[in-house]
Amino acid sequence: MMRILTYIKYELKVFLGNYSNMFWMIAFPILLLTILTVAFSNLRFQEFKLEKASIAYHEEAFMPLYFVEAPKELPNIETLDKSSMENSLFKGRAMTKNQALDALKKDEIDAYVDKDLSLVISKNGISQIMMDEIITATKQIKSLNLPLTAFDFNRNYVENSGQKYSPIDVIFYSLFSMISLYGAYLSGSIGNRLIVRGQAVALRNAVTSTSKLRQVLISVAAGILWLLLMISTIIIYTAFILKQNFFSPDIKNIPLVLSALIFGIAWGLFLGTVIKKESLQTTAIIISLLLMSGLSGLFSHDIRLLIQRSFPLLLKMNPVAKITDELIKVNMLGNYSTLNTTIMLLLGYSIVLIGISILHIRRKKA
Amino acid sequence: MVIKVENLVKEFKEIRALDSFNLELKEGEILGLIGPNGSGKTTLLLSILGIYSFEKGDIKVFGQELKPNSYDIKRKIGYIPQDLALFDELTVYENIDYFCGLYVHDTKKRKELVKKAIQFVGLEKFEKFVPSKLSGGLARRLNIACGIAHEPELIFLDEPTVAVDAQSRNFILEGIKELNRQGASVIYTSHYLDEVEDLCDRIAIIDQGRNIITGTNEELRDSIITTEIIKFTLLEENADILKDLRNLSHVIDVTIKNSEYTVKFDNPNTNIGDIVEFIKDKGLTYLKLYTDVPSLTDVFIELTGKELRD
Repeated sequence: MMRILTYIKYELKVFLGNYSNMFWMIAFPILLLTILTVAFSNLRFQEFKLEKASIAYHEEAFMPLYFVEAPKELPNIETLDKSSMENSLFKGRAMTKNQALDALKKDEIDAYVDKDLSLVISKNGISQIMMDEIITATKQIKSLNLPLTAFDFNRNYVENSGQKYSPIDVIFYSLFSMISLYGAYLSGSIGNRLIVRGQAVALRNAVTSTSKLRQVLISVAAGILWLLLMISTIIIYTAFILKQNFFSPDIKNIPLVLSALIFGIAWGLFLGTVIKKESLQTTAIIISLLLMSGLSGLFSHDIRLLIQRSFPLLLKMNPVAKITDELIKVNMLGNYSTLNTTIMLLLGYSIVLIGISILHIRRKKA
Repeated sequence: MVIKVENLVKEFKEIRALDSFNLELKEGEILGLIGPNGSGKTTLLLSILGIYSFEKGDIKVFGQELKPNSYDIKRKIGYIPQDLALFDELTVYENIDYFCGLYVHDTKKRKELVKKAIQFVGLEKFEKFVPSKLSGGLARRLNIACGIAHEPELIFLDEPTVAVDAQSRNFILEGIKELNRQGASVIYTSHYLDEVEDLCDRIAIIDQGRNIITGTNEELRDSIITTEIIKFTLLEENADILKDLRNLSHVIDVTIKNSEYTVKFDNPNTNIGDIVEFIKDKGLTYLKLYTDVPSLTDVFIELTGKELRD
């Protein structure tokens, strides 16, 4: 144990001795957080109007939201518990698509449900997230041929009307997501120390009697510890210096953050082992993290909307977008519906990336 | 036998880096590998150490094939690479401790070994220094300490005295002799023929991926035709005598460089009398005249047809 702690200390010393790493890992996020807070803090706390979110629907689409389009067996409307429906958060009206697009532009409605149950939105928010989830659930019920009662009408999408959420939060949570992947900077250098491709240290490490896997694990452990420390610092800085509360004391944050950390480390390890040139590795890590975060909405909420409309798969595949969504859901909405799926997805990505990296590390030089 | 390499063939694309290479390292000996840049010395070491895969042949270390998970064998090996393999962010103590810890798990024992290694390379006063604050020679010593701290039975030193001042060079060479006296078998590669000649029990001359010859100093000298080398300078340089010198009996080569004549003989008896007589007959006066046995440089030149660049 002492030996592992000593190595963790050495790993951190080696890593923190690099000023470039220090900038990207500490100075950059703190700087960005501070700038974003100064620029947007007043916008964050605008009250969200929870009273009956206003949506529009295609006249042939809205009913199927409850009864599913062209059901084989129509449910008996008389026996259906409509009390939940009356408590619905939505206030709807039928519109054509063109009318709806116009209304969306004028901000008269929050979302439009088309005939095929596709959702059209002009901005992100609680209403849009809820609509999206309801439509997804409806589609699932339809595809499984389940009775309509399978729909969870009693589900609480929002715990209380005091909850606040704004598009600005997407920017902040995208930043937190990016920070949670910063283990990539640390693990990106592991390959250089274990794969013989010019670096003398790698040569020396490769001939020792400690397995490469063990050396990787020590570095990974050091990475996780360092990141936990860094994230705690950033949370404390955000809460006590910037006076912004982003994280609820919800225990569900822990597996989410841990899986994000593991994915970040796996991502760095992958790039560090696959890319041979050290300078290119760092560049690839910086660019990939910024790109994933950018597509997730870090630089502009409009980018995220554009991706959501044109390339929705990109958002579904993008780990930073997934982490961002989950952080918002867990910390602002208390919604855990997709938490496990996201954690499994991140761990799945990590297993694949670590597997490829270990194959590279173990391979003999030809 | 500590190392046995048989018919090793290693290729990099179309280039054959090692060609039917054979080598043996006996227990307790220092074996020197000499050869020009690109001759295959480092490739050989990395193949023995299991870093490189190879096309053909067989390598046994302590009687066994060295596989990636042969940790028992690896524990007995120390490797000092040609380039400094150090962490700039760690101190002298921490660097040695880092690499020693990859072999020795017991914290207390490791502490003792690190202290011992620091003393061995004479870096006691620099324990808390980072490598960038050390001179080239001291950094080389640290590089060695990192490779030997775990007290290996077999040590690979790949040109450890490159770009090192004379004082540190002597310190390093004495250190290697001491390690050998303590029981370590050593493979030592170098460009410096004089230090190989002084340090090694046996020497292997490598050129273009082939082991030209392996033997003791005497065996190497005996393997070449030249038996005696006579060098002299004249009061007045006379290039015309070169042809006549070549016609003397047992002379195999004559060269002139910086006004110094070098005459090589293949006669086992001394030929100095013949040279003195030759100079007198030509009515010339010599300023300096001496005889010598062939050096390792002469052996190298005769066997490979080229000089070894420093």
